[in-house]
Amino acid sequence: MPSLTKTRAMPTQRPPAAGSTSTNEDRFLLWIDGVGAFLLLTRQAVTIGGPTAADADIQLLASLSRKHATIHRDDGNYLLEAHGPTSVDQRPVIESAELRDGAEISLGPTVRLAFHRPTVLSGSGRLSFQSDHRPSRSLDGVVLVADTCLLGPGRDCHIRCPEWDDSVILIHRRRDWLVRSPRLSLEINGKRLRGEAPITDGQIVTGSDLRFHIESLTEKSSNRGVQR
Amino acid sequence: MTSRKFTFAPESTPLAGFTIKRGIQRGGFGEVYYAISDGGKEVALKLLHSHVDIERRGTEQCLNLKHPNLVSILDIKLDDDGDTWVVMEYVSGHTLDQVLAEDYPGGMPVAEVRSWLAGLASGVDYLHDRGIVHRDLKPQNLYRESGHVKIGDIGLSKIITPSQRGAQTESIGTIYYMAPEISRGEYGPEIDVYSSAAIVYELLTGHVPFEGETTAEILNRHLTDQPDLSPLPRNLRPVLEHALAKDPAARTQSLGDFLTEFDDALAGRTPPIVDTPPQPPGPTQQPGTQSTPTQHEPPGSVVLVGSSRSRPGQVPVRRTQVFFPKDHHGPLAPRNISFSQRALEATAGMAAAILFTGLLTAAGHLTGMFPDADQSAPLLTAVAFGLTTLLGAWALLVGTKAWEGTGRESLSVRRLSLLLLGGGVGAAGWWLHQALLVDLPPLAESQTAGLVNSIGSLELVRDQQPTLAGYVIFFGLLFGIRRWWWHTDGFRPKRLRVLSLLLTVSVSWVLGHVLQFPLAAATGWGLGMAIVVQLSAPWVAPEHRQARLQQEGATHA
Repeated sequence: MPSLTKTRAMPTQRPPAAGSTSTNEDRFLLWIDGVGAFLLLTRQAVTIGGPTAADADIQLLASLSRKHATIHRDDGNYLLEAHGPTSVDQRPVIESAELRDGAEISLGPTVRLAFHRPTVLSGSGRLSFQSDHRPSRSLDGVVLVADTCLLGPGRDCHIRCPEWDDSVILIHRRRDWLVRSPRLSLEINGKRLRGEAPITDGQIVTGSDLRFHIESLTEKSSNRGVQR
Repeated sequence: MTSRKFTFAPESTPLAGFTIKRGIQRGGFGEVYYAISDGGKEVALKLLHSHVDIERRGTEQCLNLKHPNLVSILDIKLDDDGDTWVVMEYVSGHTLDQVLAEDYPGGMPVAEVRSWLAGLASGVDYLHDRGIVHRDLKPQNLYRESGHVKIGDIGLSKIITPSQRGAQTESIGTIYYMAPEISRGEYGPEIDVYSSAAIVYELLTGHVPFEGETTAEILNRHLTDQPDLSPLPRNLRPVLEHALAKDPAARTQSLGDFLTEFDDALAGRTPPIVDTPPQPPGPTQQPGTQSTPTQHEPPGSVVLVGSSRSRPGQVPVRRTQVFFPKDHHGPLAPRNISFSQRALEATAGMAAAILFTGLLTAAGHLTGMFPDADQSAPLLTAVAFGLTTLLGAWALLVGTKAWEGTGRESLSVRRLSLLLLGGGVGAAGWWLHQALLVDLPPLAESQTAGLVNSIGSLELVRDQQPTLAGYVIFFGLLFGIRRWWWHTDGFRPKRLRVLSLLLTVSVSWVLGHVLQFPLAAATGWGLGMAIVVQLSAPWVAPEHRQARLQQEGATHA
């Protein structure tokens, strides 16, 4: 049972900027009916880069460097490390800057992102696209998952699903995703969910007025566009 | 519009070449999915459920239209089961109704509204120029992606016939934006102007112009009610009035014209549209519009359902009422308050009046305001005072709520009915004081030379105490002189207005002098009733009035 309030302790030592061996593991797409598609990233350091950055965790169709910025999650705090021209809340970032709830991130002259920590109950944060720059496939947002990802109608959810009756909690534990809902009755691939249960790539979670599934992007890094 | 039971599961491939990733929207018209083609192109796939042939025909007409403000239709395909799919451009970003609900529930800044209107006008004018009427413009069909407004659902969901309308609940979203002439089977380009104006109204105010509980009620309001323009910025009112005209011939003729008038109004170049007198049927020549003779259906327009083309006589456009009229007998705000609502408010007010009279009387008693006049005990004096005040407050609440919101009754009817009620309260008050053996405080020295102490043989004062006639006339005049209906109006500026209290006290002071009614009692009752009535009568805070008005309009229609 992961703690909702604290992220795992991590070494404060930052990975070296250039030598990071990002392999696009721990990347997932969450598809929610009627809401959108969201990238779930579970790594503690997340890189953002331009179209040529094949190994970036968030690869935007924008004129950015191959590796433009890295966001580090460190014991519940978020730190943005700039490798290219970057500013946070209109202040240029020389080396790194802390990301607080509501921070506005500018990458290069045109790309704008917003960072949110919608709830103190989770160490996870959310990046939303403020400018029109997206990955090659449209994406409605990115969740930097520390432990949990809350989906639901409230403003305190990482992903707002305005028409849902109540919230659903996705828990990331080791390599697995678990799903749980305090009040909704859910089914995973037609099987009634009791308490919490793991969901794997391709399994579909349904409720009376919701449906979603998680798609693992591992090993699809080079040809993400082709599904069949 | 959520995912209530989409037919196809994520990762399924009902249509060869496309993989469904998630459902986007579902309605009676069909289902829309987000899908990715084998080559990686993201598309919106619409599975047609009902009226497939008609939908298909409408879509085919629009298949090759190209405009930056229109969502492109890429193809129409049949799957292995023979079902029809429309392949459309996928537009990311929120729909206008989501933007409105999430970011601007109370209405958008005018500049933001203008940018949506500009894109809408460009796309719709293009459609009209190609002879196509969209017919289903609504915030759910409008997107903005990369700064461009995109109009969706072109050539789709045009199935609105009078016979189906009642049963087709899924089109309820449409009905808020539906032009009145649609009920007569007219589907000219003017209906798109009307819908756009209804959308702009909603963007500016956060509310559609006509709300209601049922489809029939909303339709009826489109046909008969004038939109309330008061929540709109003042200079935009004539523009919206023009574009929301009931008669398509009197309406703004194109969205380009609408945008021009909108811009002119914002720049202060407003042509005096509203002062144009009702015009005879036919071409409307108005400043800022290049009117061509009205074409209800240009040649080749997509009209899929019955299209009788009746042209009824022009309905004179009634000027919208000023919100707070300056006439002195009308209501503070003209409203359509149902009888049951007024009865409820009167009853609630009467219940509250018991509490406030009690508190007021108790406060007076504890501070020794009720002197031991003659032989009666102070407590008994207080009780007699309180009961009379309560009766007076009740009579005022009932009497004023009887016609709250209407402006029909003349001033004299209002005043006369209150005067009679006041007389009744006076009689009851006299009887109460007789029964409880309570005397009023003696006349003040300044009063002894009262102007009137008898009317003919009718004595108003005997032994320093007002007679039955004295009570009846004092209360009758107090009720008849003041505009008590403004004290109880749910839309009064403040719940309790001190100025009203002072005026009432002055009136009762003068009456006391004129009628030789003991001054302390006269001003006491004037003050007491004015306080109790204002505190007790239900009051709607200004920020909730718009919603209340719409609700009342809805229940009335």
